Amino acid sequence: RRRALPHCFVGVLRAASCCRERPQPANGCQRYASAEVLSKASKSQAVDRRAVAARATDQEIVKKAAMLADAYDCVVFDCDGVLWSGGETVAQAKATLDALKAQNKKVYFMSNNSSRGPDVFRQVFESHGLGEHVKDERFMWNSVTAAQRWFKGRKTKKAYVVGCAALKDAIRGAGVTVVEPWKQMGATPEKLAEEAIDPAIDAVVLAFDKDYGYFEICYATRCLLENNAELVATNRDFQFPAQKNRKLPGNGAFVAAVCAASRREPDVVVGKPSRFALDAIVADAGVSARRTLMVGDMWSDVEFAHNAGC
Amino acid sequence: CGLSHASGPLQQVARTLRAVRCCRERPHPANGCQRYASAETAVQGSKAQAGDVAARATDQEIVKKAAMLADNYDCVVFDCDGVLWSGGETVARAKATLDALKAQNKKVYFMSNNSSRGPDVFRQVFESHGLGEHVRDERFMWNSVTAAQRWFKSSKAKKAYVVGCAALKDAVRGAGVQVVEPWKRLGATPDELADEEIDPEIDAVVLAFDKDYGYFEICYATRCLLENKAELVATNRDFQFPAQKNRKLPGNGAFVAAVCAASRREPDVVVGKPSRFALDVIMADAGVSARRTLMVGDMWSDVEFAHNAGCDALLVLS
Repeated sequence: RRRALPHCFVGVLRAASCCRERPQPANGCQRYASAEVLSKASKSQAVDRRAVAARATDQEIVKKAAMLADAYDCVVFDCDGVLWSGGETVAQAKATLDALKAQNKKVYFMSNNSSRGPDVFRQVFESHGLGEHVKDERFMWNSVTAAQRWFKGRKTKKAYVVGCAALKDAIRGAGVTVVEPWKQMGATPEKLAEEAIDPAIDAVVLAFDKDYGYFEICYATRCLLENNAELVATNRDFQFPAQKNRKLPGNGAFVAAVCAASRREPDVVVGKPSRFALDAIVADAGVSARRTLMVGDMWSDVEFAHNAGC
Repeated sequence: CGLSHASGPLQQVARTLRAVRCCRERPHPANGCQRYASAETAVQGSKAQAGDVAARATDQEIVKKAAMLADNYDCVVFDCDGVLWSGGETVARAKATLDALKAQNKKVYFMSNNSSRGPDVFRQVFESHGLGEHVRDERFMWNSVTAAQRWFKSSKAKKAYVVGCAALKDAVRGAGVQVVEPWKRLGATPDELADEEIDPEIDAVVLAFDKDYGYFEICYATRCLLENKAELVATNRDFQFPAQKNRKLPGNGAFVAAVCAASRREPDVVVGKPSRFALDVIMADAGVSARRTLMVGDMWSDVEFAHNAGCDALLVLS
């Protein structure tokens, strides 16, 4: 480890990359209370995050980021929770991104949020003052982009897609016909079984849709059982955080319902922590996995990176 | 299993019975248990065609078989869908079998996992198949709704969030539990759903089949489980149920899987099959021991149901 550094960012990094399992007291890995507290042997108290943030000035953060960047050519950022939290931009996010850009590092963004397309996503960046980093769309990745990348070059002809309109457009953009069956409100199971399923449907895509119900689960299950369609999930996150420290069911709950009813597991998950998106980013950047760093706020971000060898 | 080699029809049926009881795992070529092509061709080496056998057996023969089978058991529990009736049609000898058992003074119960109908509608289904006299007394007619009510009669729960038909909600109220019915906003965003306050007194969540369920129900149930640490009761976890044209539709198990995934918990109790809860209550009600109770069903989950409670099972293939 580089002990010459004023603080331990790199220590966090190497320790995390050495720590292949989820930190538990039993396996000797420390849970880190904040990115500032790191050494594996250290028994320092969990540092109050706000106190640490108050101590570090913008200049110090800029210096840290710059030295960290020496070890990596490509940095991939999770968005919700890292660059912004709730509605507020994280204080030093802009400074960090600017510093990395100044060092000619390739900076990408990867979010599991499959409810918005590239346009809306870019607006979110702009509202936090980070719009210049996503001028070029290829740096901005989310489940929608990942799903489109999956279908490009595959032989899929027709897909049943549950998700936002942007996801359906993205899949059409990959050359796949998207089926939109007419949803009968309050249909009984008998009526749902009566309807004939288009035998040409060869893929089912499951993404978050706040309006999903028994009809979607039923139609997806029938495509999987009767057509042997391919099952693609954008992500399997069981929960996502909401206000007042509450947790809401995520897309993983919906995927669990369809997997239970069809007795199958997804053929591919295109979002985190599956390595698909990071492999595509690394290939796009022309960088090796060893020179790529993933920055996130959840253990699934660490898994995402480790699955891809970063 | 040490079976005798006599080949009369009665011995065949008895052998089915014993063979299934000995067969604790799902029959698979690898573990040496035969899959039986029909309840009539029980002999392990037999290659008799199923159709021929059914055509040969007359009503009188079936009645005799049932009577002799009943010598071994004092209480017989029947699954309904697929055993007594299939699709809209009554199984040909169902009435004869039930009458014969009744003539022998056997206690006959019915247990169905269908949680979408209450006792009144359920009785009408029996009457439409000509079997109404066997369910005159409501205590012989069991389904998930009755089982849920029995669970809550002995539970300390005070307020429950119930997903399911109106009959289930009434049954849970009948057990002395208040049933919460939150106003469902169509098209509510996740932020709006998280804003709403959950009644902190809700201490149970009941999940039953409801064709209108959606993200709202999954969300509300998950929040009750996470924020209130409510008890999670599922009526059943059947992943699929059969529909017309040999198609399969998602069952209540899919919905329970969604809520379990989002709340990172397993149900505290499943009141329907194959959990042993309902069969234990039936045996207590009948005053019969497990060794003298027989469960008749058409699915492997019925056999599991029986074996979980220590009873024998008769598997019919309809």
